[in-house]
Amino acid sequence: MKEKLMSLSQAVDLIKDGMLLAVGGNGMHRNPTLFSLALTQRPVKELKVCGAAPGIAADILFASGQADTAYFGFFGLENEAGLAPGMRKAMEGDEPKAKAIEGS
Amino acid sequence: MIHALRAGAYGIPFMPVGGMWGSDLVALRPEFFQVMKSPFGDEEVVCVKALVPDYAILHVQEADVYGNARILGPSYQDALMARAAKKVILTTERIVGTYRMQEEPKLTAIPHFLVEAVVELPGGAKHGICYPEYLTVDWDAHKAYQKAVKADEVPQFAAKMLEGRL
Amino acid sequence: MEYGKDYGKAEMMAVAIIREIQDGDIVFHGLASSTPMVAMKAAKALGKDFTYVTLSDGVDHDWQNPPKVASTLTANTYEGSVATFGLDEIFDLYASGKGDIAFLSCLQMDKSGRIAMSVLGGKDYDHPKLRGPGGAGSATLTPVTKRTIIWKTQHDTRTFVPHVQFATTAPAVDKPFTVITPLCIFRKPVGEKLLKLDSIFPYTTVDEVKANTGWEIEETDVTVLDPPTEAELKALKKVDPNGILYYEFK
Repeated sequence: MKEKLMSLSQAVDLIKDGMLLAVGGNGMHRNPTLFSLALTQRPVKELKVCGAAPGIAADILFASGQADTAYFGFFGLENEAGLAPGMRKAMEGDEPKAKAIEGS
Repeated sequence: MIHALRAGAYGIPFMPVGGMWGSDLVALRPEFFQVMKSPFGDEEVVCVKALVPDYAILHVQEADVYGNARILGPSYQDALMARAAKKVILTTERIVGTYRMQEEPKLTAIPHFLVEAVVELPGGAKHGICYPEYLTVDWDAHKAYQKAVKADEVPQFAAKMLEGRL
Repeated sequence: MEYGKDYGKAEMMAVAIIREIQDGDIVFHGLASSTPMVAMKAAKALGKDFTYVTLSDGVDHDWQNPPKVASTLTANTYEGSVATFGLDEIFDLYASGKGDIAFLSCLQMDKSGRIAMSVLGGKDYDHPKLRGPGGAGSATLTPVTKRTIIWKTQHDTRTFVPHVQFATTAPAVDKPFTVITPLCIFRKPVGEKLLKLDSIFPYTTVDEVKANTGWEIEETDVTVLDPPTEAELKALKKVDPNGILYYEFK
């Protein structure tokens, strides 16, 4: 087995423009939120995200304008935390910046 | 989405889905959904295109330095994502000794050979929830996030939340 | 039957949900589903012998563990489970015809039971006024579940509309389909395509239901459901000391 420990900075640098990312967790639960926040400090763009139920970590990438496509069954933060504000901002209205590809 | 990820994990270009009949989603996205006749009979099935993520980004409670990871509590679809993706990046509440995995191997949700990076990142799911470490949303932070989204200031919000950890 | 005294729409709706569950059923609810969660825990407290599956992975969790928040993704429906069964496995179970009930919800619905979960208003799907959270499994589950039951805690003409613009899912003709609201129960019989008013709750009238529904209701002579019994109300109180049932009714 190979050791793979690295810093958050090194890990974030693995992400390149246009990549498709599966984002773990569900809603507000066990999302890689800090990783997403760290990505917003990099110039990476045109990301695609997918998941059965992307939540806050995926929402951050739409809020920052770095993601342009979401593949999802459910995309929200659930109940008290509400709808996903970044996703809505990117996908509503006459000139949406991002595309929804909804599965189930 | 589960079936699309499964097709990715199975190494096949698409996958039939049980259900989906009656949904306007099928006709809306021909690049993602197609209806086909079973090659073995007359039934029609809805098929979904495979997704192969470049990375699965997963936050777990326990991982060793090699990337063997345990998920405590609900695991959602994380193990499937790990198998569908080309590689996995783990952030983990803590690094544990490999002996933890050897005690009960089937509790390892993600085996090391799927993983490219392990980042020790306590609180990595904040301002959300990570069972059983922190069980409530940090509502002040969530309000600040919602405000930042409105004001287009998410990178500034992020810088504050990261507290110099990047 | 002994009837409990104090109840409102929340209790009546929960009780209507409880009464749909039969011994031997396999029953699922999804995320953001506090109403069926509390009702299903109460059904367990009442001694109903059904299997409880949900997307926290837990199977038949310890229902005596009271929920603290409305989220149904927490470990509350995981702790004390006898097994784990993930959402992917639940989809397979239902697709193979073994799932009895799925409790699902909607943003809007029309008389055909076509459900909007994806988008509302705007020019089209890609230019919506509101982007909802998506079907969350309902498109996969509705056509294959033996008895799909929609729960919706608002009953008004904004929710129950003449025509849903974009249907995230729709009922199967060959299966029953039930809608439980704070006022009544609609049912689509097997082999039919349209919802019928099946029964109303004790505190309302057919006229009130008609006034709050955006489609034509032809039924006039419908059953008035029994109010909650004392045992049903006690069970709801017992499993939900923090009043999570009322979250959707604020």
